[in-house]
Amino acid sequence: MRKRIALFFFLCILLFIPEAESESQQVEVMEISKDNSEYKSIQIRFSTLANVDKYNIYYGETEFNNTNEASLHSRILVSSEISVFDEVPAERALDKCWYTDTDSFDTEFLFSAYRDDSGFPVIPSNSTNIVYNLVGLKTNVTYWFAIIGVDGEAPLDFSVTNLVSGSTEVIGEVPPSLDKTPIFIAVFLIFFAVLFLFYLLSKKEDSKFNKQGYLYSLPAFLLLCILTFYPIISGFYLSFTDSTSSRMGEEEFVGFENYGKVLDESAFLRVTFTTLLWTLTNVIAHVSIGLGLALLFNKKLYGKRIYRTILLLPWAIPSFISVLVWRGMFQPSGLVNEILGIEGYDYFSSTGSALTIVIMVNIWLGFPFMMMVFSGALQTIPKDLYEAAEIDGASNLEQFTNITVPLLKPTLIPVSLLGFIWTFNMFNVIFLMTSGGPVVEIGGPGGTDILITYVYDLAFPGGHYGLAAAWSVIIFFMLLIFSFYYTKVSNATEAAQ
Amino acid sequence: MNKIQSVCLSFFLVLTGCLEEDTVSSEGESGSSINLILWYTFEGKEEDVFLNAISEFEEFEPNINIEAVPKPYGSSEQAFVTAALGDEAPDIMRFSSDQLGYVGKFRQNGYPLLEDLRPYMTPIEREAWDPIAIEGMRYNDELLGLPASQDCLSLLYNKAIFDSNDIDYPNSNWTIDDLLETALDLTNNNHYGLVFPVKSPYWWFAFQSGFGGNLFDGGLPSLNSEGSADSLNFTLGFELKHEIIPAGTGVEQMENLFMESRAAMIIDGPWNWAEYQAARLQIGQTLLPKNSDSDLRMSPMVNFKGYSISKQSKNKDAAFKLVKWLSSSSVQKEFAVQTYTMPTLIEVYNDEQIQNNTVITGYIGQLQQGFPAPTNDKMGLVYNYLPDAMESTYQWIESDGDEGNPSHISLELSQEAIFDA
Repeated sequence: MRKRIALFFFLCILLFIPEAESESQQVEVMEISKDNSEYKSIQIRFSTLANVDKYNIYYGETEFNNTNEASLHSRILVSSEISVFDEVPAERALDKCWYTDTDSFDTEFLFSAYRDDSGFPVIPSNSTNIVYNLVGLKTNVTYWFAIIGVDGEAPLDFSVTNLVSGSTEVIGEVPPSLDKTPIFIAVFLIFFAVLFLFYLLSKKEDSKFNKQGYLYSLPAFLLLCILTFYPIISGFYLSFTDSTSSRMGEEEFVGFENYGKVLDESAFLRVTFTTLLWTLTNVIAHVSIGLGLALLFNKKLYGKRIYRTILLLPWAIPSFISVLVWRGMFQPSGLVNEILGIEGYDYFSSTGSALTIVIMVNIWLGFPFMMMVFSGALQTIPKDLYEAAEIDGASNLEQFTNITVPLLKPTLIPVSLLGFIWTFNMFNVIFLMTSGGPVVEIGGPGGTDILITYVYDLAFPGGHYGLAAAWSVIIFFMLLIFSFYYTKVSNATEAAQ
Repeated sequence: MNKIQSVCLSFFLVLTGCLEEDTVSSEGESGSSINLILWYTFEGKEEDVFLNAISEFEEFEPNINIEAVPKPYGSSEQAFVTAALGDEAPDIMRFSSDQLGYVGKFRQNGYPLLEDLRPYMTPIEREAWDPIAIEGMRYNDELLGLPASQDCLSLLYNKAIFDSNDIDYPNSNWTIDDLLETALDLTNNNHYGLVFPVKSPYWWFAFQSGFGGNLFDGGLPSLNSEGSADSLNFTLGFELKHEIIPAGTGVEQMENLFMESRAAMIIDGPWNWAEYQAARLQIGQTLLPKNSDSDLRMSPMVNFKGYSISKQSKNKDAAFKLVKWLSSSSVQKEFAVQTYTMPTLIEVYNDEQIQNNTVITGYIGQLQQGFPAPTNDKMGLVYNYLPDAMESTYQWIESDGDEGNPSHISLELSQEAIFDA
């Protein structure tokens, strides 16, 4: 019984003890610092209060008398066990906050506030002053602030007496628009250089210069300057700089450094060899198959048009679709394995098979063009030459070597040269089928990488624009030298005349 | 000569025209309408929900016109960079957190390509987001996007296959040995116990963490470690040693096998759940298993997807309004309910409808076991070089190369390549 009475009295005492109220007091803001304002941010400075465990910062675009008329902007926690919180430098934090344990606000006495799990600033309980950048504020809008020091639960409403106002005038940073003037000036200069060349040619006494003809072709020259000459010159310039993804527009001239890196690269010879193998195999196959089929269709053949239409299909279908279909067929679970009854063989896992497949696909894609060109060229050879040869008793082979080949030469030379250049720079087949793989060396070119696909890897995922430009210039010179040598050796010009 | 002079004059006039400044309406012009261009990477049902959200925004912000342009997810960061370097960036772009490292490193005339969003929100506004999601969208010190969703891989299983084989469903107490044994039991006659693309880094990261490996140590690549090498051998073993997974399985084949009920288990994200349901599969989900040797649970990489504002945008405040709307609780909830997209706002986590959705809560449980995708610039290089390392290890094991541990060698080489790049 005594125990029950004691318990009753104890409960009564508990009921009469006033509930522990949270204490709140307003903090006076010492300064709103305009000098230190940043974009969407205003810096405030204030002294700490004793016996509070957080500071709530309220704000509004109009003056307010009570915190319930304003919005809560942020809070700063006070802790005597600061070591349990994260140490975050002010620059790294989502909003900058510092504290001091002296009376000075000098930078040397400012320490970055610690952070709780939600990213709110936490300061040690012995702090004396706080510097806080209030973020999320609009530019050129005056805001009113009140800071309440709270011990315990924050009150739902609290009368405020001294508000402070401030605004930030810092406007958002928009990078200047890309300066296209040098591009236009460069194109302009190239254009005038071409015009000046024409002018000099027209002044020559024995010149066959046809002013009207050049005038008509002037728009085309202008487009050439913009679309061809300028990118080439720009590429040359880039190859002498250290341009990378993180230094665009701030690149510096590095002379022949990029060229040195290219030639020093162990994979340079391997990729060049793969490129030559890829190009020569394709061009020889394109020309031979194209010419063979053109000769076949030049003779009387039943259903010739149907065959020709079917053979033109690879050329008519967009190449990326054909390539993706081929890639699907050569997958481990693809049609090729299914037909051959092989399970799970990956054709793209070894350089030999992957290279064979990409070459085969490109041959399939390329021969219809050659067939069409040669079919047209064969129509121009007079039939009576063959009739005369037949009367003279020439065999089919003799007719081919002595009539067809010499008379096809004006077509054969430029077309095979064009085929060489196209195939040398053919990007989509390898990129879409193997992406340059399989891996030969990690970080280096893959087994089916040719020069152009490797340059892409360097430039785009890699971001090494200067180096990629140096590779491109080397490719350009390789093709230039080949074209010059090829046309000279084959006497293409004379043949054409 | 007069003709040439007149042509030159015309050319000069055209050139002068080209050099004129763009006349784009800016926010400063009061009352004028603002045009925003937004590039997004949604498809299917997600795209419908997204476009509805855009229409709603245009209704309550009639002065803001939005041109939403779809872009393929795979090359979206490249498309953005190309446009931005040509001064043609859209105002807003949807990025995944693991793309931010690539975009973040670009500078044009000293300026980054994306706006730092830290000053745009008060700390109290920011508190609405899961702090891990906010952290996940940061590159160096900057906040480059507002997270609107998150996702990761988890273990899904076809209940019908388990029932017909009289095997208990996978559960959160499973170890990777249980996973392997059950997968072996369920592999027969063109039916497979488990499917996932073994040569994909994204899938491997989960195994790597379960074996005690990690991608970065103190910000530096740490690909080559005991845990990483063991996990790579173990992962590739599903295809090469145990033949549980068909050779060369890619993402598409993995999905097809599971959809056709030819695979009992799949390691997959929530994005395909609706599609599997539409195929009338009875599916369950559980946490990725533990590694009994290391006592660590497989921890998938968590990707956050959100909206970033281009530094070049002339209408950043309007763009932020839209970004905030697209990340708001109502839009996130709509995405979660309609497409099982995991939210990033705490309010949506705690929403009753979300709490009652077992798919979402299951994946939220998995997310809590995951690790946020690193957003440093080396992460892009990991994606560049790691596939090479995985492929060469695969080929090495396949060709019975027996000198040294191929995983160690390949991972070391890719780590060196990342350092050198």
